[in-house]
Amino acid sequence: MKAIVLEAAGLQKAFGGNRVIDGVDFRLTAGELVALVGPNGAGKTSFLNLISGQFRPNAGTIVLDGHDVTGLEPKAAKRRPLFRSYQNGGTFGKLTAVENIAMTGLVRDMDRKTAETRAAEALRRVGLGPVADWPAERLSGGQRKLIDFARLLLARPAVALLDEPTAGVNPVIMEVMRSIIAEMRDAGTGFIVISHDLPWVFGLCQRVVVLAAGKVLTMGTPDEISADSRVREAYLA
Amino acid sequence: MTKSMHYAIAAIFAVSGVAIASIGVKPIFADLLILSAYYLLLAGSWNLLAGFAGQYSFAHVGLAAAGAYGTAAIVNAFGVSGWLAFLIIPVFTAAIGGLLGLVALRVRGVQLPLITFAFAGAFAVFLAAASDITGGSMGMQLPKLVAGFDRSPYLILSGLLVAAFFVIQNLVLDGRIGLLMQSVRDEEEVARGIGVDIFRIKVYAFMITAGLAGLAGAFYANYVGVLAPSMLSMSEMGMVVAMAVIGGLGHRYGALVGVIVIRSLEHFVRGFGAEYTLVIITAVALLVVLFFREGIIAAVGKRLDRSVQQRRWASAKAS
Ligand SMILES: Nc1ncnc2c1ncn2[C@@H]1O[C@H](COP(=O)(O)OP(=O)(O)O)[C@@H](O)[C@H]1O
Ligand SMILES: [Mg+2]
Repeated sequence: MKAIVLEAAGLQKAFGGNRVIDGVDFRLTAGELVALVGPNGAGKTSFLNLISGQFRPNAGTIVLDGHDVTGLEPKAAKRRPLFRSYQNGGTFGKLTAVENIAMTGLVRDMDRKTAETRAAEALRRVGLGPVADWPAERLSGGQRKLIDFARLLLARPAVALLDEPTAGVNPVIMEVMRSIIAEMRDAGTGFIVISHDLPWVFGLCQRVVVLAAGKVLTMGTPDEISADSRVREAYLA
Repeated sequence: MTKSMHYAIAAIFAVSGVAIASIGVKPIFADLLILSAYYLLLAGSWNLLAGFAGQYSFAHVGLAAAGAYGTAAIVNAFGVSGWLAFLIIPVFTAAIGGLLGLVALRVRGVQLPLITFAFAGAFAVFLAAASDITGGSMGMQLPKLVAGFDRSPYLILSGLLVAAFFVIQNLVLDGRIGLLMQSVRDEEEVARGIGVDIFRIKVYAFMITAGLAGLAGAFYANYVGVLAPSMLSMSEMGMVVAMAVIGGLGHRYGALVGVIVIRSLEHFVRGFGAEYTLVIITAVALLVVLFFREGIIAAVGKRLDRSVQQRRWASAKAS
């Protein structure tokens, strides 16, 4: 039995009367990769925001790496085992590519020099070495997503949440991402990966969770989900 | 520029103060330089707060005034040496800055400029009203730091203070806090999401820059020797903002360039009278902002960048 690295129970989040996450139970074990799919507006990003502490749940509990982190701010030390990426790249416009990645080291108490050295290595690994000193605002959307992804290499987390990492990224880089994710997954990191590129994410995951209107519609292996007509209907709803 | 070059620039200022003092300059020119050091400390620290940490506070000259009046108060009331004020006052204003930082955590958007502006305004009213202590608009006097009319000690001190400012700025910007501050400026919500302690960063940014404003105020009090509430007028705050913006907000040497440009302008147009000086400077500030939105340094930087690219392009075509 693999260790459980993340467990959410009865998670709920509402904005005004709008329940964007409506009673979700979720469990992730070490070295497991779960694909989180579902139509636009299903609540996928909101679910990550709850797990990462950016949103406070209205109800439910979150246990990360054996610690109850429900209601804790993202800066809390108990949240260090967690890493998340952002749908729009989550970059800081005036900071350089290297500095953007180094931030992930700084919030984990790395000194600036070490963080920047490791950030430069991470950048080279994803093929962005030449733009290391460019401010993020001068890079393309795909390059900014890649910077956000490279932060994963500094974080070395127990749990990684990736929000549409491949959107706007070319096939060569998608392959680089795939191999880095697979390597970290096999080393024991638990992943939740949101993606609309089903062939890409199905090639990486053991399990697929389909979210629709804030609820878990269904879950299963990639093959089971591909054969499930309800999933197609949910996307078209 | 490399890190050691930034420290070399700081050293140049320290040496220049001594050099200018030993060569000797006309009193009017010495005054210009000495007060420019005061403005550099103010505009430089405001640039750190607004340009690098993204906190648009308009209490900055208010903090300098608190530092100046605080200096006069401890010198007059307790007979403390004016020299000691350089140590005590920054701690005092940093504490006020910390409180402003706490306010900054609770407000959004335009609220911070408004609240800090009101704070400075209230302080000015208080200084005028408490005339039995502050001398009101007649001014509050304190003994000079160095007796006599020789400006050399102040020139040396100016160089040292400017050097100290750049050293502190280097330490902040090249350290952890420099990057964390800028992340809060660029994307506060993402910074919070990845685990930046927004509370700590804002309070630190306010404390460091308020400490520097207090240092500027202590220097001003010790040099000028008579303080009036006009030192925290709206036009003074506008001047400090203009200096940072003209040179380049969020650029390490933005305030320096702005201070040089505006102080030189002030010097050359002073014959027209004080009211026109302000009009002319406002016009120049507007022109710079209209044509070089990111300030003079960025504009010059881009020009250089382009000529380097053109040369590369030309040599690539030739080969
Ligand atoms: N900060 C917020 N305030 C109000 N509503 C929000 C907020 N964030 C997300 N929502 C709402 O939650 C719903 C789900 O959004 P999201 O989680 O981004 O969906 P997905 O990532 O699956 O496309 C949407 O209806 C969106 O408008
Ligand atoms: Mg989303």
